[in-house]
Amino acid sequence: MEISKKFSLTIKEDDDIDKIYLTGELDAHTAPELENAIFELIGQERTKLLINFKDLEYISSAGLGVFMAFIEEIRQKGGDIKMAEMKPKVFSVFDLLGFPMLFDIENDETKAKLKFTK
Amino acid sequence: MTKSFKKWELLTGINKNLALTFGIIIFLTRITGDSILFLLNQLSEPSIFIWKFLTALPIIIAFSFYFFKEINNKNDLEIEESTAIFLKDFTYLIILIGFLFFIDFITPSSVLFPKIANNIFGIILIDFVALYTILIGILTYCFLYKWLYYFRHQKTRIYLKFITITLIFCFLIKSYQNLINIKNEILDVIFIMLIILLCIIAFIMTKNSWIITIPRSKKYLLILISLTIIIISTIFLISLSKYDNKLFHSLTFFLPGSYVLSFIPFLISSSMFIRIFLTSTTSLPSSYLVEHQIYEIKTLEYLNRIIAETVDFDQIIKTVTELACRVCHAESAWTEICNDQCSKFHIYSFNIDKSLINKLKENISFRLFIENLSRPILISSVKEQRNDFLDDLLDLDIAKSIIIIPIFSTSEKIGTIVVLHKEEYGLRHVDLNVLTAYSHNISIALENARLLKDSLEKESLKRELNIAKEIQQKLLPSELPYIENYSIYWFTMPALEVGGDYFDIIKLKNGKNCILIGDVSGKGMNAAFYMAQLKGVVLSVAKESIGAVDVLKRINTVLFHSMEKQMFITLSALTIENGSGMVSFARAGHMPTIIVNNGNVEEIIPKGIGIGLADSNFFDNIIEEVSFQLNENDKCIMITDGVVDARNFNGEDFTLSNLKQIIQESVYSHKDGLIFNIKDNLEQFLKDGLQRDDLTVVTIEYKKNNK
Repeated sequence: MEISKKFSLTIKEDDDIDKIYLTGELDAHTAPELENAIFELIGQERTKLLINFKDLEYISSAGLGVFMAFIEEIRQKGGDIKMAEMKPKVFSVFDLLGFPMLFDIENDETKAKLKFTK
Repeated sequence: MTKSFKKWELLTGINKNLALTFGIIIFLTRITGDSILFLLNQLSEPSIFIWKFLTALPIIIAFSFYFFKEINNKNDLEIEESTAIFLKDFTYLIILIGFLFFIDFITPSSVLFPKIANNIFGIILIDFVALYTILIGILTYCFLYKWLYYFRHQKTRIYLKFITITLIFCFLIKSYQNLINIKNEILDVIFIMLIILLCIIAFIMTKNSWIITIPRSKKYLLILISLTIIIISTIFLISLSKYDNKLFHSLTFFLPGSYVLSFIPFLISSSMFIRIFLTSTTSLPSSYLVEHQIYEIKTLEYLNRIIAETVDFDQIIKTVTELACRVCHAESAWTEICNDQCSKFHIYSFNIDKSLINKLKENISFRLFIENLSRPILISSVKEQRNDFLDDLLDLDIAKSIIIIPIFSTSEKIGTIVVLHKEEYGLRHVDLNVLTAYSHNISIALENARLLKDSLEKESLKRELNIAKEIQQKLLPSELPYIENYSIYWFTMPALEVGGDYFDIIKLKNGKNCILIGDVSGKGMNAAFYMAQLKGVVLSVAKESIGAVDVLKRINTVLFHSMEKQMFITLSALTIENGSGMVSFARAGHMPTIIVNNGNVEEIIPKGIGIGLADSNFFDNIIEEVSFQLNENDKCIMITDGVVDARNFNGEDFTLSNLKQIIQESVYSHKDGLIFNIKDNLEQFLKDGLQRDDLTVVTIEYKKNNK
């Protein structure tokens, strides 16, 4: 019955920052893929993550949980997760939940990147 | 039945022994008679023929009866059993014939020639030798008869009858010729023609297609047997045809023309076995192919049985690898099957060390060659191929010829079988064909195993879903408390996979009613588990809380440390402050609440973050509470995110503005039953659409004096 749009992600290294581009729908079924990707990055001591939501159409509570799962550890290691370029629909989900109070969410990637230097 | 059967058996038993006894007595009479006649010097008289005829014929008939009786009792036999019987009979016959040759060889010709041997012992010896020769003839005939009977077909009976009649006829011709002692050329011509005809009949009478299907080892045995029979028969025939031969003379002495009785069976046997010899010799080269096909059928059959019996994926792969190796007589083989995402390979090896395979696969071009192969390939000589990436096979002394077969499931490639042979040209096209056919069955087997595994997993998932649903149902309120001046309606539509929607009405410490609506992140069993935990926490903090924000703060304080990091709960609380329309509302990351105030539809979004996202310091600092006064017919509508995420057939979401519009319309039309209106709209919207999450809607209406 359910034909969920495929989810995919690409990681681009930008100096010490890893930019993760999300595409499609991030839900309970696709979340593990992002989870694994972040887990591997942390394993390589790469903890400055910039998530680009430009092509993400939908995010569910399980998708949001992925960021919550790692943020503590990443921050302990001196890194952070910054978010950028969310579509209004996706942003409203983050907004309602209070994520802007927990994460830096920016309109464009450069701004988000700058947040790392501050 | 049994009685009559036993009687019949007894009768044949007596008859057989009776015939034997009768034959022996007559033979003894014959010897005695011959001795007396010799002493009376009457043996050379022509009239003595009648005596010879009258004694010898009953003997021959009696012994024939004895031997043939044995065959007729035999029914259809199994192939193994019959092979054993034929081999036994054949051995006996060879020994008996060998003994005859031995006698023929050691006896000086003078003793056996009646003309020369004027000796009573000579006469007796001649009789014995003659009888022995005739008996061998009969036994040979029995052997052939058995053979033909076993491989009988519809014309066998006619052929046998013809042979028997011809045999008797030939015997009579020769007896007659001998009796009148006159050369009759017409009879000679008839005799020779009959013999030729017999040869032809014997040559064509057997159907030898069965020879093609027997294994090579048995073919060699058959060639050996038929060659022996041909040689012995030929020697025998040659020696009988010589007029100065001892056997010929003794037989003629015993019964004129009786040599025919030995001559013809050997003639038939040599003719028949020449055919068998030729067939088996010519079918030898093709036997590799035939054996291969027989083995192929057997392995396919075995594989099918394995499919039916085995549900274990690994067991099937193991068997498949082993069979693939054996079916083409290779030394070793391995099968690699990729997992669902095709990112990793599981390797099953047979007779080859996994470390060797890994070493081979270190070569990227080799690995890619195997992984990207889309059709079966045979490299009969790795050396001639001269592909760099194949050199490892030679260097590591793994294989000199190799077959690689991809395995497909529907159209996707799911794995590869690699079969290795240490000899150059050890693997041939025929092997490739067999393995290709074989690979189709393998994909079916693997597909079946996979389907079964999936269905089992689905079954357990389904069970888990049902349990989760049951838990959720039990956690939701079965009936709502009566609240004066307020009407509360609600409905929930669980998604296929439990989404963790929560709804409850609790009584606070100060007796105020508090309406809670929430959503646990994630799905299924996990969500159901957190719902249960939430329900427990809510019940325990309710008695101490005094307002909407207070409830949420307390819940977060309790749950924050006990929840998994990636889990969180969104929750809204609405407290009915008094009976005159005063309510207060707080929100922990949950959806906005919509209120209808004096006909205006508004969203209320006080600050607040989800439960479990931050500790009480952070959480308590952020969360706000708003209070507002409801007037007559004003409403509060609380929802979960499943409502706005509901997706229709065209892929459009229901959205908050859509909901607000429905509410607005109902305000204009002054109609009651907003909750039903929302529900109908959602159901209509979701028709053929997709409900991604549980969805819950609660409406609170303020109406004075509601009953």
